[in-house]
Amino acid sequence: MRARGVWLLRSALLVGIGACTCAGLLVAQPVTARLDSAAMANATVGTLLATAAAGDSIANLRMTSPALHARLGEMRMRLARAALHPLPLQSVATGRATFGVVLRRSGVTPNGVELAALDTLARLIEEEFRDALRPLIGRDGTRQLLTPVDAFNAALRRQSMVASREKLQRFERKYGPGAPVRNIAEVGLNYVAQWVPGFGPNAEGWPSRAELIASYVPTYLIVPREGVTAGAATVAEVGARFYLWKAGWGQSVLRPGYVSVGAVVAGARDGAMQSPFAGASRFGGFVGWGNAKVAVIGGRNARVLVTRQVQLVPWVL
Amino acid sequence: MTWTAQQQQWRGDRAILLVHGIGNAVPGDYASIAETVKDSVGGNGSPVAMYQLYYDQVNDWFSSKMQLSALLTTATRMLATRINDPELGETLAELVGDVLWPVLLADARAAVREAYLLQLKQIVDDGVSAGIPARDQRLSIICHSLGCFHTYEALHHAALFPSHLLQPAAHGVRFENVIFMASPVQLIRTIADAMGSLVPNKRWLYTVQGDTLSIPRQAKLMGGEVSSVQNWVSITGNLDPVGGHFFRTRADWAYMKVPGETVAIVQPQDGLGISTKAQLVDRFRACIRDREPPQITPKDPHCWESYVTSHAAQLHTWLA
Repeated sequence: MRARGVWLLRSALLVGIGACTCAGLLVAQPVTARLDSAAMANATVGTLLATAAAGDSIANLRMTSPALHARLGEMRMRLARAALHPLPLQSVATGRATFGVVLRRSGVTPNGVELAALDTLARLIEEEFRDALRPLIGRDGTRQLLTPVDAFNAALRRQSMVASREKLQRFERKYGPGAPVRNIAEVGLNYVAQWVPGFGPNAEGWPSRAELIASYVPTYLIVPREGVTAGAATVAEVGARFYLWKAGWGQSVLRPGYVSVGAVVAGARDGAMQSPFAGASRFGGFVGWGNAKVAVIGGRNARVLVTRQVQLVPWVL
Repeated sequence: MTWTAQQQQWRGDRAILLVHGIGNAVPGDYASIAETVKDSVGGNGSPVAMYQLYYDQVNDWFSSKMQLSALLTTATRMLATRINDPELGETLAELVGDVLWPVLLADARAAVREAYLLQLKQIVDDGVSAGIPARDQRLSIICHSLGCFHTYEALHHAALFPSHLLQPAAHGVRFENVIFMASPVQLIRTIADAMGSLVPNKRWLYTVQGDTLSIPRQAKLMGGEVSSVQNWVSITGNLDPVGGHFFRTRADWAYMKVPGETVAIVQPQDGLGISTKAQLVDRFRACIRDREPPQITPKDPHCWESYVTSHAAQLHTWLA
C-alpha cells in the first residue's frame, strides 16, 4: 500500500512539476525546501485530484480513516469529468471571480457542483493531510504534495485581495475626502438608517450604495423663462443618494461618484435663505448627477432650479 | 488617497504585524516599537518580515463625515458611571471614550476590518511568494489599545468567512502569537451591552457575541476544531484604565479575560511616579486633547512603547 502511495505521490509531483525537476525529489530534499512557483503556476484540477489520491493512499485512509477516504472518493467522483482535469487552478480561481468569463474562453466551465467539490476537496486535503502525512513523508514531502492546494488557495486569496481593495475604494467613495459632506440632520438619519436593510454594510462587509438626504438648501438658482426671472431660491430636500461603484466613475462631472433623487419643498416666496415652510408651500422633486442638481417646483408658481452640491456651514447647511 | 497594505519580501518563514491603538498614526510612526520588537527577535540580521497596520487614514474618512459627539457623550457617561469613582471616573472615561466610537458606526468598523484583513492577506501572500505555504508560516501580531479591538474583530471575521482565505483549518492560516497590550475589548463589550439597541449591526460585532470573549476557531469538515491562535497573550498595567484597571484595582467588567488564553500579565506600574489617584488623573488629563485622540507619552501608564520595552525578554521567548 505504501509503495503504491509513493508511486502516486511521484505521479502527482510529475504532473504538477514536470519530469525534468522531479527526479530524486523525494530522495534528497533540502531542509528548507520552498514552494515551487512553476509547480504552483502549472497546478491543475488533475494535479489536485492526484494529490488527493496520493495522500489517501500514503496515509492508508481506507483503513485508518474510512470516513475521510469515502469523502475524498465522493469529491473525486464529482470531479470525474476528464475535460476539467487540464484546467489550471489559477484560472478556476480567477474564473469564479469573473463569473466564468476566463473559463468560458477556455471552452470548459465547471458547474456549481464541480466548483463546490473542488472547494471541499482542497479543504479536506488542507485540514486532514498535513498531520497525517508529515510523519510518513516529512515536512518537505508534504509541502510538495500539497502544492496544488497552495496554488488554488493563493489564487483565491489574490482574488479576495482584489475584492478587499474594491470594498475599501467604495468606502472611500462614500466617506472619503471627495464624498458629499453630511449635515447634522443627515448624520442622525443615517445613524438610524444603519438598522434599515440596504443602508448598512452587508455580512461580507460591502458598503451600501444608499445614503439618506435631508437638507436645507439656500443655494438654488431659478432658471429664467417667460414670466419668470432669474434669482435665488431656497428649498428643503428629502431623498436618497446612491453611490456608483463602477470603475473609472467618481472622477469627473460626466461620470460622477453618486446620483441623488428626492422631494423638495419651497416656501411661498423665492429668494435665498428663506424658510421653505413659510406661507403656502410649493412641492416638487429633484435629481442630482454628482454635484449638479436640478429641481422642479410645481403649482401655479412653477420653477426650474439648478444648484451645485456644497456645504456652506459645516454640519449645518 | 486609497489605502494600501504594506508589502514585504520575506527572508525567512516568520512575519510580525504591529497594530497601533488610539492616535493619529501615519506610516512611519511607532518606528521605535518596530525596532524594539525586531531587536527582541534578533535585530537587523533577523529574517523576520515586519509589518505595521496604519488604519487611521480609514478612520479619518468617517470622522470627517460623521459627527457623533452626542452619542459618544452618552457612551462616555455610561463609562464614568461604571467606573464609579468620583475622583477618577470623569477623566478616565474621557480618555477611554476614544476607543468606543467604532462601536457606533457599522461602516467604520467594516472598513477598518477590511483594511486589516487585506493586510493579513498581503502578509500571507508575501509568504507564499517567498515559497512558504500558509500552513508553515509563523505569524504573530502585537497590538495595543484600540488595535486590540480591531484585531479581535478581524481574527473572528477571518475564522468565520471563507471568502478571505484566512481560516485556520480550511486554509492553514494560524497565528503563532497574538499579543494584546492594554486591551479594551472587554470594556467595549460591557459598554456596548449597556448601550443596547444604540449599537448598530451587533450581529457582526464579535466583541459582544457569546457568553464570554473567545479565541477564534474553525470547525473542520471531518470533526474537531482548529484555533486561529496558538499563543494568546494579554498584557496590561495596573494603572492602565484601557486595560481594565482603575488605580491598581482590576475591574472585571473592563479587564479582558479570554477562556483558553495562554498568558495573562498584569504589570505593576510602580516606576511611573504615580502614587495617588489625583496624580493619575493629572497624568491622563495632560494627554486628553479637544476633538483629537489623546497624546500618550512614555510617562503615561497606557504607553505602548513602555509595554513593549518592559516585556522585550518575554517577546523574545514568544517570538523566537
